[in-house]
Amino acid sequence: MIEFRQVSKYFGTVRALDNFQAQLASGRVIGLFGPNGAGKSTTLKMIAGLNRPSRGEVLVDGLNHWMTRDRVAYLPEVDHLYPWMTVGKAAEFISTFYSDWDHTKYHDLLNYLNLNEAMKIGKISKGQRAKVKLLLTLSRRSSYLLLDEPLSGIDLLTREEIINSVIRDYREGEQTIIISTHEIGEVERLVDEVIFIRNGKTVLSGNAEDLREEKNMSLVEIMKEVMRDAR
Amino acid sequence: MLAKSLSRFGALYKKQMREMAPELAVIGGTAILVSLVLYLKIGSIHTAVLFAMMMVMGLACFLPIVSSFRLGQEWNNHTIYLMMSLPVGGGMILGSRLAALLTQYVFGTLIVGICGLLLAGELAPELYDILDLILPYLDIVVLFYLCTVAWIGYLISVSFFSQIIGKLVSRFSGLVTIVTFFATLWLSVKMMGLMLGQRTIEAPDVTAQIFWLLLGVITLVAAVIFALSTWVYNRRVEL
Repeated sequence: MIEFRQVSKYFGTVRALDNFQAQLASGRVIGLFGPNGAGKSTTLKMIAGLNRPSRGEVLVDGLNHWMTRDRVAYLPEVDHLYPWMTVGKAAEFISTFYSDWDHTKYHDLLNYLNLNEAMKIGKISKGQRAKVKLLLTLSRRSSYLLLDEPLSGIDLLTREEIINSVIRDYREGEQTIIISTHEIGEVERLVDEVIFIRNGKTVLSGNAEDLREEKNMSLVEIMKEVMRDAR
Repeated sequence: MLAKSLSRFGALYKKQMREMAPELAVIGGTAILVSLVLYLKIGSIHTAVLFAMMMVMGLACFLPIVSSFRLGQEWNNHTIYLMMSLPVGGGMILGSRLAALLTQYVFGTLIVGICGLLLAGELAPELYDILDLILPYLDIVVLFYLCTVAWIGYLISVSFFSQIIGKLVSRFSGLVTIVTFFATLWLSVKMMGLMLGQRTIEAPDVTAQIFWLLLGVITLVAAVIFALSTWVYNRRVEL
């Protein structure tokens, strides 16, 4: 389980998280939704150990988030791979660091995503780079999978491939997936739990199905409503 | 555990070496090319030959320092996201980078040295007689070389430290890096001076003692700055 205990985060005078409190249950797909600048990426970076809280604490399986990097597979929004590496070399490099790297899964996904090991990361299209990032993240059998805007700037067909890959490899009950996005419509069918976040604060959270039934709205509509109310 | 750490360090070192391949090719290529041109065009030991080889040696010494400033590019290219999400500490990340840069220095200086020796042998074989005179002092030559390796390691550590400090601020990062670089250099050279001034050297083997002392002091100061860089990287750097 991932726990945020009254976490605040400041970048200079900018408050990215404001007394943020959340308990993210294990074995679920959790959607972290909100507009740009809501604090979604900061939340994920904190779980991945790339950020520290200014106040409060973040615990992953009861441990300080700095000590659990090997349990977390993190897909950032930015292109974080070395452009001179080929897909094969990047996989070889990353696999050295993780005991949960699954070679069979890697080769399986490589074919599924129509990628090949000889492709040079700096010379492929944006969509293909997004797929490579996903390939290298999903090839691990990690306890926690963090996806930060995995569909941002990606064409419709590639989006579908990415979503299908996530669904295909999800180990229900065993793995926790946290997807941060403001494109809720695309991932609506994927998520079990949702957290709507604005100005670094939770404005609404709960079971996705319950919220849909209770409000008789889609998650996109709920988001529009809660963000309007939070203004 | 040790095997796992070694394999991780090896992967990081290999990546660094691959990133520095163009620089290695430039040094190696320049050394060979300049030697060939001097051999074919000048054909005798001349001031121009010495000057040209000194220039290439300067390049071999200078390039690792320039390359060390590539650490900041990890932030610019967002590859820092990959490095920081790896389950390894800053010691391993910076250590592998330092090891690769020192390899670049050793490779560069050795290849230029070998080319220079071969050239001298071809253009003026009588210079080899001087080598016979140097041979009894081989330990001093090796010590001197080790001192230069330690000095390069020290400069690289200062470069890492200043870049990491520069990345702690969101504005004027470049300026902070430059100011920290020169301030750390000034302060650490002062420290070295103080440490060296406190030691007394007695005969015999005065030269060897001086070099051992230099090697010790430079290595110690470099290690302290490197440890400080690692500490700041582990405790303060965030994205």
